[in-house]
Amino acid sequence: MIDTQISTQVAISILLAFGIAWVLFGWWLGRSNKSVDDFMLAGRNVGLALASATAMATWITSNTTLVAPQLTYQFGIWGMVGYSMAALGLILFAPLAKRIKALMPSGYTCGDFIRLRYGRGAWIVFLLVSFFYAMGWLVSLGMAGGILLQALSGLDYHIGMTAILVICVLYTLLGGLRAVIATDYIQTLIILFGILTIGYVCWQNVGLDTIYQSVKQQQPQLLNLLFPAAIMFLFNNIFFGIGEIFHSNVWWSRAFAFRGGIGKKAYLLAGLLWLPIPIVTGFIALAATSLNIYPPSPDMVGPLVAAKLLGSVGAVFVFIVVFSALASSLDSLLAATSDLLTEDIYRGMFRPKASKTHLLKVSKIVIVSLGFSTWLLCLPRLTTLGELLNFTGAFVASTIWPIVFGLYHRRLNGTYAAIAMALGTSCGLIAYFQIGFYVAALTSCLVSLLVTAFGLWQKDADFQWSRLQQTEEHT
Amino acid sequence: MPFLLAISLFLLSPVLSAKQDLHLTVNTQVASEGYISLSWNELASSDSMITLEVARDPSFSPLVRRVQLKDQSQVHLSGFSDGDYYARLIVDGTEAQSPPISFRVQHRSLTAAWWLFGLGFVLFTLLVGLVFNFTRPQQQSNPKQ
Repeated sequence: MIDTQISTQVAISILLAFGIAWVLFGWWLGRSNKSVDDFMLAGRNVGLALASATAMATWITSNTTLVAPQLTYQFGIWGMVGYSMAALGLILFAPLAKRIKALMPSGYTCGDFIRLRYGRGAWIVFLLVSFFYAMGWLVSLGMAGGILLQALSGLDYHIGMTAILVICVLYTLLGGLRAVIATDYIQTLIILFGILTIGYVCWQNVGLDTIYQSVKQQQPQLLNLLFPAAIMFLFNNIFFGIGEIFHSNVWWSRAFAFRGGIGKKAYLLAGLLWLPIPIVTGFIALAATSLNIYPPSPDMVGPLVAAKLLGSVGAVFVFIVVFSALASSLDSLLAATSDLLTEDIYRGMFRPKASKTHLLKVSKIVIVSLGFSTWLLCLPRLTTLGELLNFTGAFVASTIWPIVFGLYHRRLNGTYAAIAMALGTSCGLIAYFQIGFYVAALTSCLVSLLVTAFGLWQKDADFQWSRLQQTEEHT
Repeated sequence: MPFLLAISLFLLSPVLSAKQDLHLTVNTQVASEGYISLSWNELASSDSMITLEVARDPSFSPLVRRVQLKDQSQVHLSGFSDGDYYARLIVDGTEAQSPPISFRVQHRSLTAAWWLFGLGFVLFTLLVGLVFNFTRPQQQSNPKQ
């Protein structure tokens, strides 16, 4: 499939080298973890540099390195710009992160907030949405890892997928969120260096004029700013990104973990730094036809162009960059979903009086179980699971308004928040099947807003903010 | 005579078989996003180069795209404008050629796209306005908050 594949031996050597390095690093960082706060929230004392890097690295997923070029290859200029607008999720979350830390300085998860703010009904709906999204993302990351390693090196899908999962589970298990954040920092540097190098080589070797002429001749629609499906896609992708970030514990756990006064700056900085990355990864997809690259599947266009431009060195480069992008998201998602399951399901439903030491043990068991469940779901290599992520747009966009009003307005009550999420999701799914993936999040967001607005008009919950402090009653 | 015919058919069979067995399929008859996936059977996925030709006319003249591929049994092409297209596959160095297939590119309504764009813009402006309003310093001290 790729002319300049790296050998399986080289791929295994890179995997082993990175795997051992990350696991040892995780173990070294985890030595100072004494409590569940240290393990789950890195001692709630993360500084600006690490905070910005972890937010940015986590948002650079396999989607940024694979789907951004894919969308540019399919939707042209709008696809590239539309994907980069996902940065708005990080930027808009910046003030929310400050508010979250102020309202719940001792909080653990986004589930804590929903339970205390809206009550049990909304909490259950939210957990379903959140867990469905988290599993969809985890499985798609595991699968993407296996597929990519196989495409670049010929390494068996099951070995590659297992290796990535085992490495991420081990260092998350040993170091907790502290290890996740520290490895994210290094992975950010690798990803940025790799992406910028590939972009620069593409610009120098192929040239803007050649790319423009080739696209104009062979793919004229990609330069058309009145491309209907791409225009539809733009705001849908924005709301998908905002929904992903606003509701997910991946971002809430970081808001709790960052030192006071850091969250807003960190998310703002991460968003601004992330914004040009899909432009660069998307840009290289436009060079595909100039290089006579016609991918078998659209998500392979980025790696194929990079490998062609940089030869065998390029394939190694892509391998390391994609491995870093996958690992930086997988570890964060493992840690955040484990927190959600430990705090919300285990402590919230079964053991409300569990001690911090006990919760630390449970959290580690949950990480291993989560890794194992993901591995099992990745084994059959169901292609439909890869599409699951787009499907989740209908779920996550329904949470945007309940989260925003929940954080800032006393009036919205739990019943309407639950209905907004449930009805928004249902209508988003109908739009997904009846029209296409590029309207699911937008529909979900609109319906959720209408229900939220009705709820605000209909009833005043008069919520007392002090009730959010109940998380401090952790024993 | 029947023996000679049988010999002739046997000698010709690789070419005939290649001609008959080469199937090109398209993932959709009507592409509303301007991209399509074409796939073909293993026969064409040998070491030899394959040429995929796409044209607006069934006579394949002039060609819109002429793509040379190797070690692939499918390809994803994008950026097509509205219209009817014809595609065929030729295995280089042989007479093997797939029967032509056709597909139509019909982009979605631009009016519908602008309506959705407008709706998205209104929702986004509302969200940004709300977040901005909620986080203004004077609002932070508002008892409603």
